[in-house]
Amino acid sequence: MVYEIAIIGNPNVGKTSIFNILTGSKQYVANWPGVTVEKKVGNFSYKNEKFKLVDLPGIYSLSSMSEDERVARDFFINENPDCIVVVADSLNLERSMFLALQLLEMNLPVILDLNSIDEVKEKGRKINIEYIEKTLNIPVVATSAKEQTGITDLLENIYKVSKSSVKKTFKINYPERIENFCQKFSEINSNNSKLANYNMKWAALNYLENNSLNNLFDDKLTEKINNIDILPELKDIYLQWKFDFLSKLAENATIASGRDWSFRDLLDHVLTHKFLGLIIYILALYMVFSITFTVAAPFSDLLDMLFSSLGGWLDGKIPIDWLNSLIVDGIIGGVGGVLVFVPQIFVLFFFMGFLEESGYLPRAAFLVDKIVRKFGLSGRSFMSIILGFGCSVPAIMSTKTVSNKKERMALILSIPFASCSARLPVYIVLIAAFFQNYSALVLLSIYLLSILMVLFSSKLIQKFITQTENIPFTIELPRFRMPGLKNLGFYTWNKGKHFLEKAGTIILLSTIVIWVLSYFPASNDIEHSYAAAIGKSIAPITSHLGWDWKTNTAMIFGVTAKEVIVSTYSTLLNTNEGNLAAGLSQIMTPLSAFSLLIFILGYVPCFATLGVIKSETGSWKWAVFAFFYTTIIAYILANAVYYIGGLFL
Amino acid sequence: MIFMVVKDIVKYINNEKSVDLNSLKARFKITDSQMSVLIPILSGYGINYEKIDKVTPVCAACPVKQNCNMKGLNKCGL
Repeated sequence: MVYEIAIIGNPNVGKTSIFNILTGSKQYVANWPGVTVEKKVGNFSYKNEKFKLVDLPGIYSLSSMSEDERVARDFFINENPDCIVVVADSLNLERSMFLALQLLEMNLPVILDLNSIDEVKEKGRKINIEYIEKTLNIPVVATSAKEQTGITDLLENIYKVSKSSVKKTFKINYPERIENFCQKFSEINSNNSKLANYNMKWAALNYLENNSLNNLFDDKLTEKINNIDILPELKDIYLQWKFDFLSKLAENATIASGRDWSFRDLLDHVLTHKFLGLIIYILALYMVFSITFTVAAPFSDLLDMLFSSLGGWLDGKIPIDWLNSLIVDGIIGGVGGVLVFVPQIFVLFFFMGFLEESGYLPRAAFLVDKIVRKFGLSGRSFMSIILGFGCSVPAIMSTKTVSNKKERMALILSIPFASCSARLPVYIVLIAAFFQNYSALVLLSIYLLSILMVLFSSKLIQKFITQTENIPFTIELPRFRMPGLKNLGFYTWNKGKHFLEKAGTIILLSTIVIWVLSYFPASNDIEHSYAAAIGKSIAPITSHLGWDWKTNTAMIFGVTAKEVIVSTYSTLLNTNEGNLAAGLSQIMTPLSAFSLLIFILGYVPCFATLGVIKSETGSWKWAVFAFFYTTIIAYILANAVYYIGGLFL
Repeated sequence: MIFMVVKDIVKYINNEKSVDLNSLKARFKITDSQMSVLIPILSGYGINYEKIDKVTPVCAACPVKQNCNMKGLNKCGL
């Protein structure tokens, strides 16, 4: 038998960390709320019993206001798990208690896990665990996912609760009017088959609170229920009772309140400063880019030497000319030309992960909240933009937590302007060829421009969406944490492996196609190849920018994945990475290269991004719109940069 | 805490465009602990976090700010 265990809690309390420890999984845990938008499943064994662990989205209640809450609520109703672990933040226990109480009202077998107990000790606080245990009549354990303490205690309790045939339940004594309502509600619905899977008392309380199950009652039943009592009054009584009950519980559960502030508060004081905070943020980004270039460069050179040596060694050893050219010039030159950027990608993700994990990025989002509000967005949206620096696909998916539809649609269509990591190899090669002395500065300017493009684009798109809605900011600041190397490793690997997977699939395939097009019909004359014909076909709209047919062809094939631009250049210029920079400097000027950088930053989202735009908006028309919209904007900007830059250079 | 408090808070929030938790705390004399309990309860009234301006009012609640005498440095961006 496999016992089903659910893990749930408020956003950013360490659920996924606990999940990873129990299952040995490598799910990435971000240090900001709203990361777990869909449930994750893992398995583990304890005392010869098998357990299936389901990690549910981080929510504050089961009131079914949002998609996340509905996912969790439906899971409890339909799956009826053997045990539910409610992970609570020990430093903000009160916030988690509401959710725990809702689960107890559903008569579910709950274990309360007070996580981050190390931080409670750090602040000199003390929690009366026994009092909570006795009041709620449920097992309460204290854990620290960071220090991996209390895990055995948690496992033991999961084991006991799951195996127990008699589940402990909390007998709640509500005010008399509420009890009467629940009683009459049960009588009225005794023959309502739609409520067969529901705990009747919980259904009654849910009806009172927000009636999220309204589709389960026909008009006749609704009328009868509504006549039991004055429901708005009952609702006030019910929620006031909850407030009083939980306030008292929280008050009595705290033995010592500890110090008011710690070093983390001092950091917050400086890093959230109106002006200083923004300067520190830009400096932090600059440092990350500088480190990316300096730390990764030797490893990149090493890989370059390896691929060059491999190509040189193989060249001429294959007797068939076209096959020799395909393997040496096409596959090794093309795919190798992209793979040499693996160190940069991994180093960048490592340091971005550090900023994210430490709790710094959410602070940056708070800082820019007032600025981005002018563009119709919120600080929460800014988090999606930062996520887009990794990949547009999860960034667009993360907009699910943005409840304002107008803002969400504008974000979905604008996030492709956030400079994803696939573009990084192209930037690096162009920067190496034309702006080597200012590499970090140029890269920083591209990323800042990318943020501006998302903001202006959002503003523009929202002008055409008529729906008006207030857009308040909702995100909570996570506490500062020293990122664990293990978690940073997961983060870097999870983000970076995507790049490796693409190298072995879409980049390899595209490289072969490009080689075929550049080799035929005249094997020795690339200027008259099919690839040249494709590139030359759009020359009338690009030649004024100083882009030749090779650049045009690279842009066209870059639609599949942006890294393909580099492999296309490698194949068409017949060079490896080191010589690629030299080759590029022969075919365009620095100004053309800079306008090309701007174009690459914005033009055509990759196929995966277009797919996710379709799935998130529910229509292909928006994906098609994004295709043309981003390209037109990128083209206009590239022209502007070229002509305005030409006035100064 | 008297009986009508939650109801009054809900009425107040519904009448405002956006509500800062600090003003809410000051107006209704709510402690940090009570505020933490209150926030999920408000969702029962259709007031999710989107109705509340800043869930964690970092600056005003910042314990360092009370003791920071450096005027230039004591300018929180939140």
